[in-house]
This record gives sequence, C-alpha cells and structure tokens, in this order.
Amino acid sequence: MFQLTDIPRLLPEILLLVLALLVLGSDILERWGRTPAAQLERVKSSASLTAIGLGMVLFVALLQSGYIYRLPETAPVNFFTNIIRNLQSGGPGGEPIAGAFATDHLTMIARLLIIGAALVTSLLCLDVRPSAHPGEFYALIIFSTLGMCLMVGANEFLLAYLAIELTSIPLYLLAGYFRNDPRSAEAGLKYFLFGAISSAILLYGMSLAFGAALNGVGSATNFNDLTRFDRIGTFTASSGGLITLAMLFIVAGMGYKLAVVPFHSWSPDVYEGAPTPITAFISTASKAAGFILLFRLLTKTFPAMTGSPTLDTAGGWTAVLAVLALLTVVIGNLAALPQTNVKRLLAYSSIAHAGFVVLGLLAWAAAQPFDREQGLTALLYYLFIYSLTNLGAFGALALIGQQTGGDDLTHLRGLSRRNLPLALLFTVCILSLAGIPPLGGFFAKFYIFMVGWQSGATWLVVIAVVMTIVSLYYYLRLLKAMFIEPATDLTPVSLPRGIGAALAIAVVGVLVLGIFPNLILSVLERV
Amino acid sequence: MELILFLITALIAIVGAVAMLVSRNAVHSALFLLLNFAAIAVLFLLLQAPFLFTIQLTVYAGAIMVLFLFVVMLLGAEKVEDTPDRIAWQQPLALLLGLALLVVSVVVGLGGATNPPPESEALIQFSDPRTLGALLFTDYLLPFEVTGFILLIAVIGVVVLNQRGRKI
Amino acid sequence: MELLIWLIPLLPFIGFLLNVFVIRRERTAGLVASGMVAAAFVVTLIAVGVLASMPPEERRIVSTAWEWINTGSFQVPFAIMFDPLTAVMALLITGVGALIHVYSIGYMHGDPRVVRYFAYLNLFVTMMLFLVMANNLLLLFLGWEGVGLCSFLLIGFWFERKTAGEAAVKAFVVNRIGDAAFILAMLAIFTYFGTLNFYSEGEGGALGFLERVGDIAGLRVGPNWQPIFVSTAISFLLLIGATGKSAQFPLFVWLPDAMAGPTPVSALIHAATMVTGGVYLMARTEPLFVASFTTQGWVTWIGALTALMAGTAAMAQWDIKRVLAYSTVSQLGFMVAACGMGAYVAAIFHLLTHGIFKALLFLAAGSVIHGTHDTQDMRRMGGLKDAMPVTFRTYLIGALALAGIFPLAGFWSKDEILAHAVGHGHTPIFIILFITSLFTAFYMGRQVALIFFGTQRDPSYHPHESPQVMTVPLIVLAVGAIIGGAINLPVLHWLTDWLEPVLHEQAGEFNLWLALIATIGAVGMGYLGWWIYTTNAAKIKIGGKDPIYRYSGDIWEGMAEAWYLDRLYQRTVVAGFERLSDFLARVFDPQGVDGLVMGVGRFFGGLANSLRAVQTGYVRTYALVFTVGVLLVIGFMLWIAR
Repeated sequence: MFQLTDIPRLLPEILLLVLALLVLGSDILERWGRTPAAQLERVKSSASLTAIGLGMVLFVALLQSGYIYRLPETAPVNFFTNIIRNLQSGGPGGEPIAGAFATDHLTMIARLLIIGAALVTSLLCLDVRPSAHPGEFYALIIFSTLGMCLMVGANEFLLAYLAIELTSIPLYLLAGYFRNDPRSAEAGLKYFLFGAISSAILLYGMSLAFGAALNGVGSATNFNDLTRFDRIGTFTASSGGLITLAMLFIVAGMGYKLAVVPFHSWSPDVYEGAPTPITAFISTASKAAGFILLFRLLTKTFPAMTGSPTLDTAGGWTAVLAVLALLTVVIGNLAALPQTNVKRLLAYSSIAHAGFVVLGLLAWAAAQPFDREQGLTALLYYLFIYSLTNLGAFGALALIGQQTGGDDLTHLRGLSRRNLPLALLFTVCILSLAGIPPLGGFFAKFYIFMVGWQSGATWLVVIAVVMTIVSLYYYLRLLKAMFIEPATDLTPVSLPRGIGAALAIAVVGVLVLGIFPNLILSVLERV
Repeated sequence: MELILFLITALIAIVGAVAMLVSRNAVHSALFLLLNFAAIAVLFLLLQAPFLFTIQLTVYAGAIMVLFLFVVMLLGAEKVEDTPDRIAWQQPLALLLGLALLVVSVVVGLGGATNPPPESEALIQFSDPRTLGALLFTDYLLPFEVTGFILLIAVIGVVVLNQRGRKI
Repeated sequence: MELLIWLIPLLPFIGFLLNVFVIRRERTAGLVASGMVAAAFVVTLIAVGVLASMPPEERRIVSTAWEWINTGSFQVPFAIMFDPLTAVMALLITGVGALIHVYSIGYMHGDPRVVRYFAYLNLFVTMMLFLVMANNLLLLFLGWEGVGLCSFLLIGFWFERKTAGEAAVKAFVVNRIGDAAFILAMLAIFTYFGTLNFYSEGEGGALGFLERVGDIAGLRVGPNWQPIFVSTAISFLLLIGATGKSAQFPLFVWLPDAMAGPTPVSALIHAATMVTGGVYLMARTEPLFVASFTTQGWVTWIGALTALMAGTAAMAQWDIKRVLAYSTVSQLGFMVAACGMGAYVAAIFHLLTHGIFKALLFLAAGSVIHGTHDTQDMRRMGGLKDAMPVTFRTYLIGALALAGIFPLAGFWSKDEILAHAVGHGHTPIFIILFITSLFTAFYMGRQVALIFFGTQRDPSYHPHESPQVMTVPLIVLAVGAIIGGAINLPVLHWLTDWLEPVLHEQAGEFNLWLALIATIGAVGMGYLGWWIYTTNAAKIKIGGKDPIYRYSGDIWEGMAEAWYLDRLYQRTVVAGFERLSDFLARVFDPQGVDGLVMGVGRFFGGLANSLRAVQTGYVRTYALVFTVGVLLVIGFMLWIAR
C-alpha cells in the first residue's frame, strides 16, 4: 500500500516532476517572437531554469541522502534542523514503497549519479541551441531523468517496465529532435524502432517470469505482489525451463538498453546522429540506470540461477553475461579502430566500456558475500567515473562540433593550438577512458578487473586487459590529432561558460576521484 | 472442448499475425491485425478474464485499429513501393533464424517441470475489474502514475514531431 | 625525515606546476626546471646521508601520505619509501636529470614551445621518482604509466617531423603491451597475497608481499591445470611488463623509433632512466623471480638474445642516434641477463654506470647534431674533432666507457656481469654476452671514426662547438664516466654492501684473466672498427652503402633492419588487427563504412529519403543481428547448461 508518509522518500522524483512541468510551462511567459533574438531568449531562459532546477534537486537529494552531512540526533530543534531532519527521515532505508520502489542506498546513490549527469547535460545544452521549442527539449531531458530515477529503484516488473519506457520515449524524441538534420531524424527513428523491439523482448521475458511464478505459487490465492522481483525469485527457485527462458529474454532486452554486443548495432548510429549533449546523456545516465536495474533484476529475480562465469557446466546468468562481456569488449574495441568520426569512435568506446562494467555483475557468482559487495562497489565506482568521463568527452566534442563544423578526426587537428585549455580538458577525459593512472578511469578499471578476477572469470579479465592495449591505440589517435598533427585552420575556438563549467566538473571529478577514490568509495560501500 | 477451442483460436491468431507481416497492402495488413486482436481477445475469454476480453476488443480492436486505418487511408499509403531490395538475401536467413529461435525457445522453455495451474476461482477473482481497480489505486499506484507521465510525454512528442522544422 | 623523502618527488612536481600555470618565459622555465631537479638531487644526497647513518638492517624509511584506496579488503596506501636500492636510483635520476635539464637550456634555446618542454621534463622526473620510490605496485604503476605518458608527449614533441607522431604512438602502445601484463601481475599478486605493498609500513604493520614470498611456494595456478607455479606465473607477467618498458626482445621495436624526440629526451628517458625501469622492477621484486627457476631462465635468455640482436643492429646504423639507441637496448639486455643469472647487484651497478655514460654519449651526440645544424646521418659527418674539441673528447670518453676499456666505469660493471656468468656456469650466456661486448667496442670505434675522423663529407654546413651551458654537463658526466666504476671496485665493493639489506647478495669474485681478455678484446675490436672506417673513409658516400656491405652482403642489411622484427610485426600483428577490425566493421557497422558515400545523399535527400534508407537497409540488418544475438544467448545456455 502506498502511504502518505512515503512521499518524502519519493521527494527527488516528485521535485523532478514539478521541475519538468515548470520548464514545460515556462515558455508561456516568454516573448513569442519569431526573431532570432526572441528565440534565443527563450532558449536561454529554459536552459537556465533547467540547470538551476536540476542543481537544486541534486542539492536536496544530497542533503536527503546524508552522505555529506548527517544531522546528529542531538541537534537543537529549530526551523532549519527540522527541515533537514524531515528530509533525512526520507533518506535511504526502509521497506520498498508499496513493494514497488526500493529506497535503499543503491537507489539513492544511483539517483545522485543520474541527477548529476542530467545537470551536467543541461549545462552542456546551455550553449547548444535546440530548435524553436526549447521548453519541450529541456522538459524531455527532465522526464527522462525522472524515468531513470524510477528505473534504479524499481522493485517490481510493472514499474521497471514503465520506468524504462518513461526513460526511453523522451530519449527517442531527443535523439531525433533536430528534424532538419536527417542524421538526427534518422537516429531518432532508429532508436525508436529498436527500442520497441527490445521492449517487446523484455516484456515477453517478464511475462514468462510472471507465468513461471504463477506456476510456482500453486494454489495460493493472493497474486497481488507476484510482480515483485524477490517474490518471483522465491516462487521460481525450483522451476526449470520457463524461468531460464524468461531470464534469457530479460538479459537480451536489457542488453539492448546497455548496448551490449550483439545487441549494440543501433548505438553507433544513434550516438552519431543525436545532438551531442543528448549522446552524452544517453551514453552515461541511461546506461548507468540500465546497469543498476539489470543488477536488481538478476540478483533478486534469479538468485537461484547465478551460475558461474568460469564457463563450466554451472551455466546461469553470470555465464551468459560473461560471454556477452567477452563479445562486447572484443568487438567494441576492434570496431572502434577504423572509425574516422569521433562520435562514432566514442560510441564504440562506450560499447567496450559496457563490457568492462559487466565484470562487476559477474562478481555475484563469488562464493563470499564479501566479494559480491565488492563487485557492486566496483560497478558503481566504474559507473560514476565512466559517466563523468564520458560527459566530459562528449561535452568537449559538442563544442568542437559546434565550432569547427563537424566531428570527424580531421576537425580535431591542431586543437591544442586553437584552444589549449579545451584540448587539455578533452585529453584528461580521453586518458581516463584509456585507463591511465592516476585518473579515475584507471582505478575503475583496475578495481573491476580485480573483482572479475576474484569471481573466477580470470580468462575474461585477461582478454579485457589485452583489449585495453587496443583501446589505447584509438584513444591515442585522438590525442595525436589534437597535439601532434598540424592544424588545417588556426581560428581560435572559444570555450563558453556553460560547457566550460560542465567540462571542469567532469575533469576535476575524474582527477580528484582518481587521487582520492576513498571520497566516493566510502559512500559506495554502504550499498 | 476447451482445448479444441484454444487450438482453433491460437491458429487464427498466428495466421493473422503472419499474414499481416507478409501482406503487401497496408489496409490488408491492418485487417489481418484486427483478426489477430480478435483471436487474442477470445484467448483471454478462455483464460477466464472477461474484463481483459472487453478491453482488448474495445481499445485494441476498436479504437487503435480504426486509427491505424484512418492514417493509412489518409496518407494513401496502401501500396508499399516496390524498390529494388539490396538485402533480399537476408529474407530466407531471417526466416531460418526465426524458426531456430522458436525451436530453441520451446526446447528451453518446456525443459522444466510444470505445476498444475492455480484454481480458476482465484483467477476469475484476480481479473475482476473491481479488484483490478482497487489494486491500481493501492498497490500499483506508482506504476499507475507513471503511465500518466508516459501519456504526457506522448502528447509532447506529437507536438514536437509535428512542429515545422525551423532552425534558429 | 619522512618530510624529506616526500620532498624528493615533490620538488620536480612543483617545477612542473610552475611551468604549466605560471611561467611564460623561456629563460625562467629552464632555470626553474633545472633548479628544482638539482634541489631534489641535494635532498636525495641528504636523505642518503641519513640512511647511511642508520644500522644496515634498518635502512628503510616508509611514509604513508594517505589511504589511497580503502574498501573492503582492497587497501592501498599512497606510500613511498626510501631504501638503499631506491637511493641509488634516485641519485641517478636526479643527478643525471639535473645535468640534462641544464643541457636542455642550451639545446632547446629558441624553440617556440620550450616552456612546455620543461614542464613535461619535470613531470617525467616526478613520475620516475614515484616509480622508484613507491612502496606498492599500484603507485609504482602510476609512475610507470606516467613516464610512459611523458615519453609519448616528448617523443612527439617536434610534431613538425613526420615520424614523430607515429613513433610516439608506437612507443606508447608497445609499452602498453607490457603494462597489460603488469596489470595482470598485480591482480595475481593481490589474489595470492592480499596486498600490493612491497614491505610492511613501519613497525607492526601487515607484511608486504615481498616479505611473504614463502607463502606461495609450491602453490599452483588453477586446480586442474598444468602445474604452473604461482611464482612462475607472477614473475613471468612481471617479466613481460619489464620487456615493454626496458625495450627487450620481443618488444624493443619502439626504442629506435623513439629517437624522433629531442636528444636530451633520448638521453634522459630512453637511455638513463625510464628504460631502466624494467630492470629496477625486476631487482625490486627479486624474491618473486628467485622463487622461479623457469622465469629466471627466460629472463636470462631474453636478456642475452636482446643484447646480441641489438648489438649487431647497432653496428649497421647510419643515424648517430639510432646507433646509440640500439646500443642502449643491447646494454639493457646485459642488465636483464644479469638479473636472470641472479647477479642483481651487477645489474644495478651496470644500470648506474650505463646511465652516466650513455647519457654522456647522447648529450655529446646532441652536441654534434646541434653543431652540425641538425645533421644526424653519420655519412654526412666526418672530421669534426677539430671543430668540436670538447664534444670530441667527452664523446671519446663515453665511447671508451661503453666499450668497457680499463679503468673506465663501463669496464667494471660489464666485467662483473661477465665474471658472474663464468663463475656460475652460465657458459652459453657468457659466450653471447662476450661476443656482444666485442661488437659494442666495434660499433663505438666505427662511430667515433665516422663522426670525428677523416674529412667532412658534407660541406654544406659549418660545424661549431656548442655553448658552455651544454659542454659543462658533458664534462661533468665525462668525469662520472671515468670514475663511476669506483662505487663497486672488486675489493671494496661498496655498492654490494650498500644494497645488501635489499638484495641480500654477496660480492662476486674478481676474475683477473677474464678482465684481461675482455679488455684486450675490447681494445682490439674498437681499434678494428676505428681502423676500417678511417682507412675506408673515402669510400663512404652520402646515401651509399657501408664498406663492409661488400663482404657481408645481405646479412648487413638484416642487421641494419634489426633482423626485420619490426617489419614482421607490421605484416602480421598490425595488419592482422587492421583486417580483423575492418571485417568486424563491415559486418556489424555497415553504415560506418559506407557512411561517407551515403552521407551526401542523405544530407540533401531530406527526411523522406532518410526514412526510405532506414526502411530498406540498415534497420533490417540490425534486426537480423539482434535475432542472431538472442539466438546466441539462448543457444549458449542450451549448450552449456544441459
């Protein structure tokens, strides 16, 4: 049952909804001219409203989480402490709301990640102009964020599925938002078509799982909570084929959302065609949300089918994921080699990174509960670092694309002489993606390799480590273009404030979390 | 008796689906889809879910199909253009793969033991509109609200997609 | 004291920060950069003094700045240490580093990006110091990658030269192969020891893995596998890591190309310090290597083979720097072979003396290049000894030291390695190394003859001596190359005693006969090299063949190409990857490949056209791939679980 007292626990989501509606309606109060000046004004106001609003939501969520400041029990009672106390009473902990929405540390941390990513994305959008209806553009970003927040907390099938749709539909629209640009339109359409296919597959898997659970319930009369992950896990522990099939379809359906090979084919096209800030958003927040939902789905719904990634006869979903991770890491990295478009190259790089993240899921096969927790920590750490880095990289690329007129490798040439700070910021992101210490990317990789190794997937770790050599090669091509190759055009590239701020957040985050990873690991460990 | 009815309905549903895919005339496709919807509605009835049966008929077979037909006829897109197909070789391959998928799924899916289904009395109770309504507003309140947001987004999407493309 | 040892890496780092954010003028950049490294040298000296005042078995200072990673069982402190082995490495890095910084002021004068150059150089010194001072493998790896990155930046520093960019990428990627093995080694060490620390942190702390090698004695990798011992697996992975950084067979191909960077960079990074990182790593993790006979055998043979291959390659080069580059590879082979034979002190000894005289040779070569207006082809030189007297004399000293002529530094260290090979029954290794040392003398004689003797073959430039800021470091290094051997003279063996707490090694026997034969051989071969190329000086033409080519034929060609190893990689590994990735792109990414052709049409065709493209093409292909994927997943399950 949904209680009124549950509302504070859903506060970030509610605030997001309010913000989305506000942004949607904010257009009304603006000048409705068709002149470029009027349109620009509308863009600016919507964008700043979004950025400020998301910043406030993030602040409230941070305060609520209590990770940075936790109100002591003995604090004096006054107006401010009451506000904080009430907020933090809705913080992590307690039973899932109405059995549908878990409000544990995992949800809280993932919310912070997602809202943070949305904030950075909105900063990136400050200087990239959407078409004549800016309100809708930004509102869709917030709606999608809301969907992701629901996704990471989803504790039952209906909400999980609806949250995925709530996330995806705005993203389809956003990817195809620039209708004058055929690439963008095509990206939107493709994203939608494949999203529909994968949703169908996912839904099919879910219905099979539900059916298997119904079968396991036997003569019990109450089916009401049978869509919850853990209930299905309880009732299907002993049943064989049907639930296996359900698991496979769910993995395949989620595999699409995460762009895991061989379900990845849409992503390079969509990443290339979508407006670059949206690409950044799709490749980070939506992927992170997908991984967390997949984690919940697999560990709660299919605990009896964990199996082992060592590829012996145990099978299970870790074995399936191990094979997918292998394909993803190898094909993602190799297919990135011949790319000449930087966005496409980074798209393949994100595919490859998804393969690394899967290693964190494999840790669930470890014998010690201790190692499993390590796996989740490593996974979250990786997602954080990866999101920061990719937001930075795509953000820099958005600016470069806007100012040099394209995002091919040739447009990067001699960037260090056109705008050195921008080139340096981009470089830090690239090096972090390549996993060079002391940047966060290195520790994330190392940690997740370690976790994978402990889980028994040694063979996979070895291949993944070898593939990092290949990845370095194509990352270096970017660096080479920026620093070593001569520029074709020496007009300086300016660095506007919004994108500058976003890049600075990303780079500082990557640096600080690399040198002091404990800052975030101590929080992640609470999961 | 029930089994025979089921087999006939299922056959109709499958034939309808396949015919919809194969048909090269959009109107025909839509009509075959209608057939498929109707058959599925009957299946719901067989499963003792009369409420779902009504919903299936009114919403899918009724409202949505009419919309489809409207759009198809308004756009005059009854005929699919015959453009040279560069990847025609994929068709048999796709058929083969689809069949393989079917076979493998059946093999895996039927691999486990199955319990007898729950009592029909409980199932009828489960699909009762009153129970469903109560559930939607209590246990499933959150998903129910989310559907509302999705509808809102759909509306926004329609607006966005129909704007005359203008660049600033 | 702890503060003191932190100062050593921090001083160059401050120099780096200043050069990046504050300094804009060339002159200040050079002064600050050199000053910081020199200050670090002074601090190191003080630290060594403090260390010497402690009782030998307690000579280790460990200092933790903060808990770097602390989650669950995975704990890595950001900790550095200072012990005798680190001390000698730090002295080499800061000492030679400071001289090279000073030299760079003259060499890089007038370059438009000189501030950035000094920033990179300071960053390099910082990273190198972290490499040798780290108390855990992870921090060592930070330095390890950091020096690789600086090397990448500095090799590509003169991007106007076409080869620079390619060489920089090649160096980084080849190094990365070693790094991958290094990462795996770290994972394995963590799995079996539960820590990455070398030694315990102070009194009562948990023991480091080097102190607990006994734990894995007899452990095997995997339950049902072939009996590979854990120590073998770990040390072998570390060996691969070392072959990447220390340019050993089969990964030495990057070092000769790395000569595209400025010459002081070659002296600092690709001769004296970074490339010795692998040798340092092996010396540091010596207990792991000693625990595995198998790996030790591999180490020895890789070292010896590299020494011979690179030694022969050095004989047939025309580029003044490539001779030195192959020579460096060859000498590193000596060190690695010494490690393999268990003569770690000899390896470190050779590392130190080689660091001095090879830096000298590179800097002197830089002086030659500077004085001949960027000429690097030795066929265009000749007769420079009168125009550049200081450079000539210092170069000669360096060459004699490298050739191993009594009583210069190289003689003592090389002799110690050879004596160990003879004394411990490694006869085949001894023969290979001895032949290599004869080759060494030969190619140095050849080089000196080609550069300084005879007449100038290319009259298009006027050679001149370099300014004092460059010659003074040369003289200092030359003095070091003469007296450097004193640190481990046969009877005194100071270095052996100094390193005893770390490497636990007894001083080797001095073999007088061997020393005599080696010296006579070196003198003879050196003279032979000099004689051939002075008497045949007239036959050497710009762009022509070597005089010996007439007699040896294609073997000479093979030597010049370093036995075609590079080309082999190009044709097999690189080409293979390119084809594979092309193939994958074609299968999985049709749009990416056809994008260029399709793009134009789509751009003008507008939405309707793009819709049609979507309908007729890719979407269906992707759906097919998707189905294949689902089928694969399910089929895999069927295959594995049932």
